[in-house]
Amino acid sequence: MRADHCRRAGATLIELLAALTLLSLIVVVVTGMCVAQLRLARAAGVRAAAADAARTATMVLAGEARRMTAGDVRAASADSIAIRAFRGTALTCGSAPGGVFVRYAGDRLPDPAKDSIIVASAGVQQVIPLLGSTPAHGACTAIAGEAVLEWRLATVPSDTAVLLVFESGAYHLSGRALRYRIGAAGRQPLTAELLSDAGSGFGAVTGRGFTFALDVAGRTIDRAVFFANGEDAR
Amino acid sequence: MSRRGAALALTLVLLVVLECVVIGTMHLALQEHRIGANRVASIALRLEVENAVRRALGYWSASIDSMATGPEHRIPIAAATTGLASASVERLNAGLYIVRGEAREAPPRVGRAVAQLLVMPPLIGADVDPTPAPLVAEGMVTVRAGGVVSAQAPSTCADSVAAHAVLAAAPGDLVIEAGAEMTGSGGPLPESSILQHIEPLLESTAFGLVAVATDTLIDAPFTGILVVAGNVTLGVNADVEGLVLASGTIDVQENVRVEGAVMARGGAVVAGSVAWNPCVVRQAVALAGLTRPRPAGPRAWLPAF
Repeated sequence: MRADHCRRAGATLIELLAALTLLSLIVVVVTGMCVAQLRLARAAGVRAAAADAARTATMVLAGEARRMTAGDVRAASADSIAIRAFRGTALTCGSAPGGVFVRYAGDRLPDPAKDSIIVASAGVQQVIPLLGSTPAHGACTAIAGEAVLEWRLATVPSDTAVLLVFESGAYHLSGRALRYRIGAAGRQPLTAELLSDAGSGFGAVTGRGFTFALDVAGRTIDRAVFFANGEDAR
Repeated sequence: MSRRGAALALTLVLLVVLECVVIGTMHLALQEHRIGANRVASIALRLEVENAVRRALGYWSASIDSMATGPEHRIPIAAATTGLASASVERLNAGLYIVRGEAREAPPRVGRAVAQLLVMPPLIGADVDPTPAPLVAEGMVTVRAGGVVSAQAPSTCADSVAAHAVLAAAPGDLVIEAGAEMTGSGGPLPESSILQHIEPLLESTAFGLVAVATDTLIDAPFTGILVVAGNVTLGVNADVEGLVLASGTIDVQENVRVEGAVMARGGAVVAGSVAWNPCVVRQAVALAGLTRPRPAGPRAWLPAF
């Protein structure tokens, strides 16, 4: 009986040691797998975020370029480009005291504090300060997506005119992100801070558009965006 | 017993963690794929809508030339190559139109693209026949001995015969000297003619159109549309295929061959040959795009929202 008991106890200890060893091995292997998976996921996440930053920067700049002509680029340097950023289009539809009634469609409603107007009718290119903008429902017939507004203008355009609302803005490739600055305000990031400043920047501005480069995770992506009314558009 | 249970639970937890990591990675990959597909769809929609607007310019008609201003009078134009896009035109004032296009993805997707183009009406309206006769002149017309004016089109052209060989202000303005040959009769000036559009044509830089701002002598072969602010002389070496327009007089000298038409606000003297060829004239007008609307100014493509 005693001998049997001792054998059982020794066997149990060996079993325990073997089990612990095996369990340790399994834990080491599984932990390794987990760590590798987490690293992979983290790297994929960073790559996706960087790609998203590059994609957002490209879409934003391409979208702005499509609304511009070469004359709307006010200044360009290696890390910034100052432009007229168009935010709305209006068609005059009647005369108002000190201004006009317009049918307006845009990204947002016009804001006299930061917006100006450019007359875009054929052959005319005139910049006019916007002094006031108020809703004027029913003053003109509008189509879906348009708002009727009464604008007070420093100069009233003659006849039916096409008026474009713009703000003075600047895009910067600095601080590891694409940033936008309205007037003298601060630079607000439009993308995650995943771009390297060393390889990111703006290139040449031509009559057709402009170029820029994005340094994403050590890889430089060169992009060209084009003006809808560029030299060869027509 | 309890140790085996702990190992199982631990394994299950680890498996769940691993599954979460794998699912997260797959989700990222799928998101990238979706973003890429959406980007492609967005570019396709933009191209579709810009094409619809461009194609709409090719469907310009007399009803658009005479439409009233205002959004309530907009005319839809069946210019889309697919059911995704539509286009319409609105008149802003006498000389300005806006062509709008919109393309939408098929439901249940909700992608949308818009474009708008500011245009001026065609230099030659849809109601103007660019070649009513081989010779049109608002002043005195003289066909000299040896001169030929033919209303007979060549057999290669679908139009066979013009209604008249010469269109003049009054019957007395047409003089046909002995020895001259005129195939076809004389007739009155049309109400609307290309002669009324000489000034804008002189400003045009259209392909195949040569505009000259002073009296001109052409003494070499010429093909296309010649617009002269003043008097034009087609010298003995001239061989013209196309349309000659002059705000002054036209002198077609001996041995000169004109195939197409000549039109003058002043008088015309023909000692050479003027043969009607509406096909040549229409081709020249079409090549120059004179019957199509023109993008208006340096901001013709307007920002669209």
